[in-house]
Amino acid sequence: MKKFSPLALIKKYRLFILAAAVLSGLGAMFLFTWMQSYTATTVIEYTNDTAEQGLAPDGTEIDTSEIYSADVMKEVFTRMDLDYDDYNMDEFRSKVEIVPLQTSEEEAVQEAMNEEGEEVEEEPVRYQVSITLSRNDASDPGTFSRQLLDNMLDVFLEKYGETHVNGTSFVNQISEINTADHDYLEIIELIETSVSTTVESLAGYVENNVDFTSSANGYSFNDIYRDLGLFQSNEIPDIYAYILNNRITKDPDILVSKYRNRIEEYGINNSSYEEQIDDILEIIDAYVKMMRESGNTDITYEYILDQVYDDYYYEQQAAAQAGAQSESEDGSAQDLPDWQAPDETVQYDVLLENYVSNRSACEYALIDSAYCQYILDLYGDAGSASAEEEQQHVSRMLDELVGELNVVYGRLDEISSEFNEYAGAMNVTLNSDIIVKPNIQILLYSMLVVVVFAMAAVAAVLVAGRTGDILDYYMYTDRKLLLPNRTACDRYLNRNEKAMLDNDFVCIALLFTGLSEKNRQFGRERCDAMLVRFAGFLKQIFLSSGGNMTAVNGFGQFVVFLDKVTEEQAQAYLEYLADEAEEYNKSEKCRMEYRSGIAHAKTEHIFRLRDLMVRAIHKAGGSQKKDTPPEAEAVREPVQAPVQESVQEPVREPARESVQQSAQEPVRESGGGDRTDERLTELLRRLEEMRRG
Amino acid sequence: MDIAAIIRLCRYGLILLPVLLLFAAAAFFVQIPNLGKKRTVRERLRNLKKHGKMWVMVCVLYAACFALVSILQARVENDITIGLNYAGASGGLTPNNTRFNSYDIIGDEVLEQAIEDGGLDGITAKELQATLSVDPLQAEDDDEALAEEQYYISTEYVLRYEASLKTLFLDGNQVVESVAQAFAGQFYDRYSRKTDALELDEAKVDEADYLDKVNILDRQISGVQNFLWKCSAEGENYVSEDGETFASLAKKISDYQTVELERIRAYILTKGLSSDEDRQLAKLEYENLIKDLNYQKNTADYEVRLETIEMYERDMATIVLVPTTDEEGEFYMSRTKIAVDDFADEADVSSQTAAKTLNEIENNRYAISQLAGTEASETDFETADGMIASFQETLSGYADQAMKMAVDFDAKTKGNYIVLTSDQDKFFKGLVRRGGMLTGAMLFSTALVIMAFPVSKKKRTGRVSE
Repeated sequence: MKKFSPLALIKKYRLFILAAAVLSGLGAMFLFTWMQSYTATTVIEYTNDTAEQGLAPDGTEIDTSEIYSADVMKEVFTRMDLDYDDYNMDEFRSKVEIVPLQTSEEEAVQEAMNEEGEEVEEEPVRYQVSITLSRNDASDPGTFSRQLLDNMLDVFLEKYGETHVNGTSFVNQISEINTADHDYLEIIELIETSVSTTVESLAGYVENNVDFTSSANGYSFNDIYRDLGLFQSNEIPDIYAYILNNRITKDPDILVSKYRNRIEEYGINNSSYEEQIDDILEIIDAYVKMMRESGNTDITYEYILDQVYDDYYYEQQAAAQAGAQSESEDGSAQDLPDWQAPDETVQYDVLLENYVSNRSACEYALIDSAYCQYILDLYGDAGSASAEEEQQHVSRMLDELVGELNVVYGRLDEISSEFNEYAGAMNVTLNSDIIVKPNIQILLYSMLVVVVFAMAAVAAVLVAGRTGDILDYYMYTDRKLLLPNRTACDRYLNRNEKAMLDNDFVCIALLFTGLSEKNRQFGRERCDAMLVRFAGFLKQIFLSSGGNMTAVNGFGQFVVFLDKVTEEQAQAYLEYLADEAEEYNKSEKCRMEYRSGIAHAKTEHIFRLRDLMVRAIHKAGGSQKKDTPPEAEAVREPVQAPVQESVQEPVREPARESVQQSAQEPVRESGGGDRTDERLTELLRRLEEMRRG
Repeated sequence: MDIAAIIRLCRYGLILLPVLLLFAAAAFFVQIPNLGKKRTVRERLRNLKKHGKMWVMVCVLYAACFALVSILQARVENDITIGLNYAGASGGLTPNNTRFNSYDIIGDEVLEQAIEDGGLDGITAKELQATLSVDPLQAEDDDEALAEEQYYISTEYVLRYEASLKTLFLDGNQVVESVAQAFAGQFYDRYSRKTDALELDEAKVDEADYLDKVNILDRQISGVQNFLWKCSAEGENYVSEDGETFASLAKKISDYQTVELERIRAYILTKGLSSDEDRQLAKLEYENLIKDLNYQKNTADYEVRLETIEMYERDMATIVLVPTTDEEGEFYMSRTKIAVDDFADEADVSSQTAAKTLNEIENNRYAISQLAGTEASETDFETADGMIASFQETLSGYADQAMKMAVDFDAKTKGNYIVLTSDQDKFFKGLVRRGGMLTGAMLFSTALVIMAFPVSKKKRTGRVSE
């Protein structure tokens, strides 16, 4: 069997190894590119005074899940014009991750406090917000994740400002009131109420000196407050007065019945209020009597508490939450209502507040009834609808007023919206850019795959190559002579059956004679030794490589195929072989006796391999034996199977090189090594001369 | 793979070609047999001379290819840097201290304007948006942006364009320039100072009745004052050429408002001036009707609370003093607050509101009596008109002065909010420089390849056949 040479195998299959590595690298690159996901990340910080206690400016708990709430995402979808059929809102929400951040100093302080057994009361104020998207989510997940997070934060800040900082929203409820089917008096009443409500809300901004100015329109809350004030003092009373003065109505009956009904309702309500007031007074009397009798009214300064623990209620709350948590850990989870601090107002005060509330409502109802009565008195004898001209005039006035108010409300909406963004940005700051990072290092991983696959290919080549050697040894090698056996010869013939041979292609047949007799005479072992020695000569001269082939074609029958060798050169080879055999025969009784035949393609006009071999064997069968030829051996029948394939590999190595290689490996079995070398050198010289013509 | 990526790969290939040829030349020197003859440098140079035309042609072709691919690349792939140049940009904020959203750079409004201004016909904003992306200039390769204690917010963003099949006909440079210009324009329009308050609507004053004119003028002059106070908050130390600060001018206007408007109002009331007396009287009476309702409600509130305080039983009103701490952590004795305290507060507020409303009612009554009881002459009207016109003229002068000061202040203190940086001007220069260098490298490496290659393939084949 061949000597195992890993480097030779690797060299032989280097293209395969290279191709496997490159292809696997390309495949891995495509695969990783397809699997690639990107994470967009930024850092936000809650900066309001109570943030470290975990509270938003409005006193509610900071809830980071608001960043990816459905409200926020819905607005993001609108802003980015995303189609719900193409993008999944819930999937985006599930891919948002919010991680609280602590500086190393904060961590050290926390650890130190924990070691001391103290509870850390400060909540984290910095959070890392990230979203991870892959190709399943968007065609360009890197860019898209940045855009999505950018817009999410934008919307979140606006909503945070609106919900937790500003707390007021201005809604224009009268934008199309002039087109409604109300009576003119009702329309102006609604307008007046809406404007008054807005002005009252704006008064809070003005009193608190909120000097925020919208960049969109250049107006501040104060400007809008003044504008609406002007409407309150000029336009609205003007239209009101015009309507009342001229008793303008679309239908006096409906209007009068409406105000009459209002008076009735006020009367009914007042009866109810008065009953409630009586009840409250009775309760108050009973309560005071009971308190007096129980001695609870004799509180003096001795009852002053020695110490008031301000955090009592917070501890109660924490205890309630801890209890709920432990229950849920036990598996008996149940939804507990949020713990509420108890109302510290004494019941007596509550009763009096109710009394005030009912009494005020009662008084208001009386005043409003008086107003309704005024309207009734005014319209009581109106008779029919006002003149068309008057109605048109008041309609125009209302249209004009609503148009102007819509402009002002539009500005207010812009200011309010921008103020929410401003308030959000002032209370939640962004500490960093949005950084987008790929989660798979495609180049690095692809290189790793290339290396791994290259190593795997090398291993595969080594295993397959060695397995091939083993198979070759057992299937295609004559294990005694260590030459390709008949099966190998058949395979060679089949493979090259269709190939047209070159002019200088030679087949040499060598047929041993009298082998059976020699077996009987000298014994099987000596006869085999002779054949092994002869095979050694053949290997030495005709090394099988490239298009050349030296094989055992049967018992005592050898064939040699040589490419790019002339008949003369073949003859020289045979002469050399004969010399070697002669030398052997001098010292051995079991002599090498064979007949040879040379079939040269050009000379024989045979350009098919099998035919050429047959011709060589025939020639060998008919030739003089080299020593004492016994009876000629039967020529093997040619292989019957039709040969379909052409010669796969062109003949590359000239015979000279084979011989040169053989010459470099001295035959150790031979007794006269020096003489063999001399003869071999002589043969080479002759062959070279022949080649040069 | 998109078109931009293909062209990018082609360009990289062209840039690498000289290097690959150098390797090839080295390989040829080592691998190709010299056919038994050692070739001298002179022979190799002769070979180079023999193939001189081919050599030059290859290099010229290479230079042409490089130029073509570079121009194509600039067409399908281009970028521009958008720098934010104002206070607050480094905090990720707009000039108005709202959050800066880089997505706005490729927002629909911007793109629609870019398409219109840049003549990018045949494409929708949505299609254009798909080809654009915005990234912070430094953040991508900078992990420190998220590093603890050293967070970083970029003030420069790169607007990138990569052509799609639908935008293949567009010039990349024109696209990014148009979009950046449109964004810069809209950004400036949005965040530059708004001077609407200084545009006085004189027609509205002319149309109104005399008492209403005073209200409108009051609103207008207050608007101008507010504008100046806002400017003063930004540029407290700014002094105009005529020695005014924003605050001083605002104060001057305030004084003028107080004195002059009171004069005009007093004159109108004294003379009972109205362009439509009946309507004005009806309006004032209606106002009084509503104010009277409010007054009654406030009075009722006041009385109800007063009544409740009196109802409060003496022995139920025990006050407890509680030791507690103030905001600075100092102990003090706090008194418990009971409902009587709240009622007293509310009664006080109701009383004040009622008094204020009553005052307004009385003023209106006075105005009603003046309008109803006084017969104004033509001269009175002319005098009042003159006073109002004079006021408007002065107010207009103040508004002009405020505008001039604001423009001057902005010019001195604020640059452009957006700075655009494009490499397009350097493109051809860079193309010539890079192209020249690469063509030189190509000349050198091609020469080496020719010199390394065997002299004649034909001759070699002949020898073998022998």
